[in-house]
Amino acid sequence: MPPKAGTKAPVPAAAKSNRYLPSKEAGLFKQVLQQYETKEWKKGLKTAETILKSYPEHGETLAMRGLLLANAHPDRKAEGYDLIKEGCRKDVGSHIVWHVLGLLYRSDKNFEEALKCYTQANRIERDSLNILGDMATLTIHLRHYDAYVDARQAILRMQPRLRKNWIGLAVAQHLAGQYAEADRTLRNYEDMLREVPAGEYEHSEVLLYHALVLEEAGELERCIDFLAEHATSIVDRNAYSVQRAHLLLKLGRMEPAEWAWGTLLEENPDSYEYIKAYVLAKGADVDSKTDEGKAAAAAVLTALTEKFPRSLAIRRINLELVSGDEFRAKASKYLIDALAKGVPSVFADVKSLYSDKAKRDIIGELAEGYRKSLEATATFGVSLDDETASDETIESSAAYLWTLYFLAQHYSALSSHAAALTLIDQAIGHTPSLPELPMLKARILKRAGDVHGALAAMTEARALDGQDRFLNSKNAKYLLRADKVEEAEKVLGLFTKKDAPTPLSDLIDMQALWVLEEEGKSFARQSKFNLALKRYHQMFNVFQEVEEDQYDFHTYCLRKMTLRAYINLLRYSDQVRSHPRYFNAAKGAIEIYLALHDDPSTVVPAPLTNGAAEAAAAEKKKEEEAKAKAEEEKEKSKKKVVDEGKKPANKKAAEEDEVPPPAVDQDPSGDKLLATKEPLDEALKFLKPLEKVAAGNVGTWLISFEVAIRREKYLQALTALKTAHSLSPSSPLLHPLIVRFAVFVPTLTSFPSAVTETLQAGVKELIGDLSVDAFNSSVLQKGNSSEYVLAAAKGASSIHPESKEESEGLVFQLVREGSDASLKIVTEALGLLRSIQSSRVDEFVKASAAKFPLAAAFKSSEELAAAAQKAEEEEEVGKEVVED
Amino acid sequence: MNIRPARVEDLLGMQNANLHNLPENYAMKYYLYHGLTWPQVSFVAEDHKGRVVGYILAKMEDDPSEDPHGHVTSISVLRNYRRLGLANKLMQLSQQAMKTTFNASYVSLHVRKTNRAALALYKDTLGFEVVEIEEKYYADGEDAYSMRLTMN
Repeated sequence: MPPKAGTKAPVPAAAKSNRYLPSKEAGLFKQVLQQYETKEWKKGLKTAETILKSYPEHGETLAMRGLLLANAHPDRKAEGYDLIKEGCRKDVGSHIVWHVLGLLYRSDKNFEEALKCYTQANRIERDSLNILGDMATLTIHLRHYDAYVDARQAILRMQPRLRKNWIGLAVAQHLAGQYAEADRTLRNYEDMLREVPAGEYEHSEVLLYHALVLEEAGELERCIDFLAEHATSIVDRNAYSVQRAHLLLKLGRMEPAEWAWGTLLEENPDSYEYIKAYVLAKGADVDSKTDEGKAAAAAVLTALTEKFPRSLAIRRINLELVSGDEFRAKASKYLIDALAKGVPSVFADVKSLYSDKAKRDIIGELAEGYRKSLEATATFGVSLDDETASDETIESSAAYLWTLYFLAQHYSALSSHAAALTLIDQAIGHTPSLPELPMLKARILKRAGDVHGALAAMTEARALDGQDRFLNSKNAKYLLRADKVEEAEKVLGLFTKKDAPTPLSDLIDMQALWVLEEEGKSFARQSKFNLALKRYHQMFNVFQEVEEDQYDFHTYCLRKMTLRAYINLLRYSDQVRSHPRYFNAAKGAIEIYLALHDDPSTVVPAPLTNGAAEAAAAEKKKEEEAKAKAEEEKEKSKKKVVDEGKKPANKKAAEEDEVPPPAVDQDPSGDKLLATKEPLDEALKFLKPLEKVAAGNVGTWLISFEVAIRREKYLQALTALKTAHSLSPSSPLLHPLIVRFAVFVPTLTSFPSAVTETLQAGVKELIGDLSVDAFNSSVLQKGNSSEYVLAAAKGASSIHPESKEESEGLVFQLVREGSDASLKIVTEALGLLRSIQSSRVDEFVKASAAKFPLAAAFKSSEELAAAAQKAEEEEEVGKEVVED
Repeated sequence: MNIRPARVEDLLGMQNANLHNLPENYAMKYYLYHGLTWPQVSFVAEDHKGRVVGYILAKMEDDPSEDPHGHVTSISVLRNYRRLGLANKLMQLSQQAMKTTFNASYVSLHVRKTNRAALALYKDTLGFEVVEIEEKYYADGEDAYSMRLTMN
């Protein structure tokens, strides 16, 4: 909404004279406002300049000129800001100048500054609904709850007849925690309404919102009465029934609760929420930790299975609760049903049971039993229910295939890669045309560390069904894992929009976080740090977009009355960066910034001659072309509108038409990002949101420590360690950081003693009365797990940087006969040896290669080249098939 | 699999599944538009760890000249999670909500003429019928089958 020259509050005489324009110019100024409103920016600019010729000091015109300039010429935005600010100085008492500045800040998504300007404009011009409405939206967007209540109250006072203004106030009060006031506002609103048409959706939504407010206020009795009173006006029957059922449960009315949840289960017996609540209503709890509690919940679920035999969810939850022979019987039925039907996901589904070793072994035994029986008699060979002694159903050969598929996943999960490969090869030999099989082979090889073999298998899988985007996505992912970025983008391009400048630009528009993350990691592995940073920043931007998406809904939902969903949106937006992909982007970017801080010479942009830089340049060129084309199209369509003498159908369409094409990315290869002189400040930008929304994740505080210690904020570094320690006292990742800090603190001699004393006391809290050496060794007593051995090796390298023997000794334990160290741990250990410049690197690589014969990380460059060559040949085969 | 109404916090997971599976993709804002206008009619299927493995993104058509009816913007299930009947269950729940909350009498959807796999799903598994061919419905010029399922 553009500013309007409305009635003005009394202003001091001096300011008034400054603002005075004779009637001719006053008319022109009105025209400027109008031209802004109709988006005739260039015309508006000319009109404003005409006024300024005679009245160069006129603040409001100066401000409008700045606003128009920024809109008509986005590249001259800075100049626009300067003009508006000059206008503000010339006429501080005008609401227009502040409104104009607020508008520009808002369009730049600088909501904080925009709100300051709107607040100023509102102070001058209390009665402008236009200003007040925008200000209200900004206050809620920035979560100034109390200010939002004030703004909503002011709006309601001015327009008490509009339904949405009552609702707006209630929402504001609810968000500010003023439950009683929100309840009262909603009651007043409901009493005021007359003749609501039966079954009106909006009214139904308001009633359910009112019920939500009551429930959150803890008024459970009143809430359930409220629902009963309005039952016939609520059209969202499901929401009504679910909330009522929850209330019955919370109020301890078990019998009606059981009935209510039972009815909901009839509608959807696959809802975990319904199942769990039903069990609670029956006096048991599926989350119980005791044997008796689990048995009670299992009994309820077993009875429920009789009633809803087709619900997999009930049976799956039951598998968590039962054990021993009962588990064996129930798991067997669950698995056989799935294998006979050829459900590919059944292993992924049961895998989380493997944290219980006994269940893991039973599942393995069962599946091995099926395989033998299917080979011998083409039956699963076990009784499926108690009546029959054995099941004689002859299975199709597909059941055998899916059993092999299941077993291959079982052995892969146990890191028995060779056994897994034998099984999957057998399955592929059985049915070479099923994409699931090479897809699994790819995953097994990936786990074994063979990136090239994995890629070849996945390429084969895609070749079996070129129409399937899922296979295409997986193939692209494996290409990225093998650092073949250019090829990956080509493959992805088979499914992206044909009119997009590049496949990647479409994927960025569609916010494809997974592609950005995989590319970022790949570029980081290839030491193309500029491009890696670019991708991590693009991920950061996606999250920012998602946060900003909520802006329009502040007003939209008050019109649509979808208030429960709106409250969800606000709560969700507040913690959208707790998403694991945001964490990964932040971690990836911060690691590069830390390296840049430590030694800029190790982190240089990828040379210009490489393919990626060329691709980036090509991307920019294509984007520019696309932009030019879009401009052209726009001109054409505008002409058309003018020619036909028609106005655009509605205002919204006109607005969209005038939106300038997105600016061309001036730094497509991330060189400018990498050229930063303040890498730690950049790191902080990624870190800050994590400290807020991912404070429960140990990883957040490990990164926080690394940033703080480099910023010489030692108290913050200590806080980070302490927070991590409180979250996970025995974290093997935290341990070496504590050791590093304990070694570091005594070297801080030039600091005030108050600080060093706090730090020393903090260290003591973390390591106890032990010496640093003893503390470091103590981690080995936390179990013989390889993670702790590596942690101690890292610790030792900080305590004795001059002598490598201790670290080396520990690290070599990991590749000893009988060690259970994973590929990840051993790869990290190799990284440690390299970082301390150990002389035993080659020896370690050899030992690791013996332990992980397929892993690319321990292969010589000749071996790798041969593997890549082989993968490429197989890919060629794949391409031919696709083109068929 | 846990099957339940989609909430705002599921939308990124739905977008991710859609991007992996289908050629028609949307920015988050469009998912939000669905979720905040008709929060009742979209559903997700998630695995035991809470990852979205299938979804239906749906809306209501409120053209006053026609009977109220629902429209499926997008439905898909990750390839590995097929043969569990998830698409069918998601569709059933969505239809039920369209009917009870919005009085819908039928549900419509569009499918690319060349997308035989999807066509088979809608026709044979879900019971949709082709109503007409909409020429050049898609941005790249491809025709769409407009399909419809009447609710009983």
